[in-house]
Amino acid sequence: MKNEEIETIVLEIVAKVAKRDVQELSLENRIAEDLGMKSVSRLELAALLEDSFPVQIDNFEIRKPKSIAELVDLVKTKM
Amino acid sequence: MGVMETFAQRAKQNPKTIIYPEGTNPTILKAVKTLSSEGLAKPVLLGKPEELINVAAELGIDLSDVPIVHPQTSPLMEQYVNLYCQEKDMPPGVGQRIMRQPLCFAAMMVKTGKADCMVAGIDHPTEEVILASELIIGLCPGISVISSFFIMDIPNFTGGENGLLIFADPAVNPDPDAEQLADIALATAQSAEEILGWEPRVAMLSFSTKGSASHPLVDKVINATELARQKAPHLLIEGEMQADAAIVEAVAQKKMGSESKVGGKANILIFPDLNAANISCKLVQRLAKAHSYGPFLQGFNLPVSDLSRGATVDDIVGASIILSARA
Repeated sequence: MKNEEIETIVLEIVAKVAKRDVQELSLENRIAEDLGMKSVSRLELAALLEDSFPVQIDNFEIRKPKSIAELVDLVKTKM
Repeated sequence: MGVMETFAQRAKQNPKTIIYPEGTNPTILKAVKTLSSEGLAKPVLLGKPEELINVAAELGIDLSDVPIVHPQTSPLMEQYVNLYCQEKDMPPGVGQRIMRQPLCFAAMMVKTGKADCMVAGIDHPTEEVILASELIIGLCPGISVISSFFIMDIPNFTGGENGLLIFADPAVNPDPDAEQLADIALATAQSAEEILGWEPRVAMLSFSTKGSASHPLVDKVINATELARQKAPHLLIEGEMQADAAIVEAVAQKKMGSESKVGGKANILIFPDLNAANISCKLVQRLAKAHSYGPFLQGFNLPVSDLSRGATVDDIVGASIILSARA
């Protein structure tokens, strides 16, 4: 899977969980500060990522990324 | 009659169905056996039956009177996945991944009425219990944060509520802002009413009493008190005040005047942050030899209790019967 494809899918997933329009988002957005996503949303974020990519992300790992770009990096390192 | 005896008596009169998602934990199994055989609760264990029965057999525990739910083979799994996906607008794969987590499955049993409450946390950090419960059960209307409280039973103390005080929040929110602190106060007042049957008298603690000091930390407590009053106009809540003004009548008279309905008579102490609340709990436990019960989580729509990972059988039995009072 190409980097661009991964980024597009991750942006779509974040948009769904954050209840935002995907066009509003950029990789630089910070998950908590800019998008107002609460910790509880991370459970769904991890489940959606696992559902879309061949990865396994536990509830501890999903708390680490601070931005969407870091989330993309997490997915890439797991693939 | 002591606090626990009172709760035990109430629990026996109307035993509640309690789900334990950490079914293979030996301490949980011992506590569940006590609760079941003494008629204090109707426990249900979550886990793989063969595994649970093996662990129980090693401990010499007969689990024949305790129902076991195995999420992977239970018909409830499909029902819960569908319910979750429908409510959250998520694809089935996500629902399955969420519901495969024992804490989420157990929380769904509470949400759907298969259990009255959930007791967990001996094998999971508090944050995991909170996240699963918040995701599945949700927060009480009007409450923005989950918080916690301790019931403190203090020997030779005649104030509070017959020698008992509630301390909040000693375990969850490190540095609540004014709005969160107001919600902690409101949730604690509700817990005191529901669990203990008290009329809450809430003291919002600070290092200042009625403007004796001026500082942003004092302003936070004043603002929180005002916000709580706006949300619950009939609640007896006052602040800011120092701890002595909250629990000693003579000090309250001097610092707050005779018109205060909470000063000197508080039965709920709301601390300004986690440092203050946690340190106070430990000091009162150690210096005053207080028995403390908790921390209990509050703010969820339905009853959930968190256990310390070092919880003993007595701790689990205690948490279960106190939680039953809210169910």
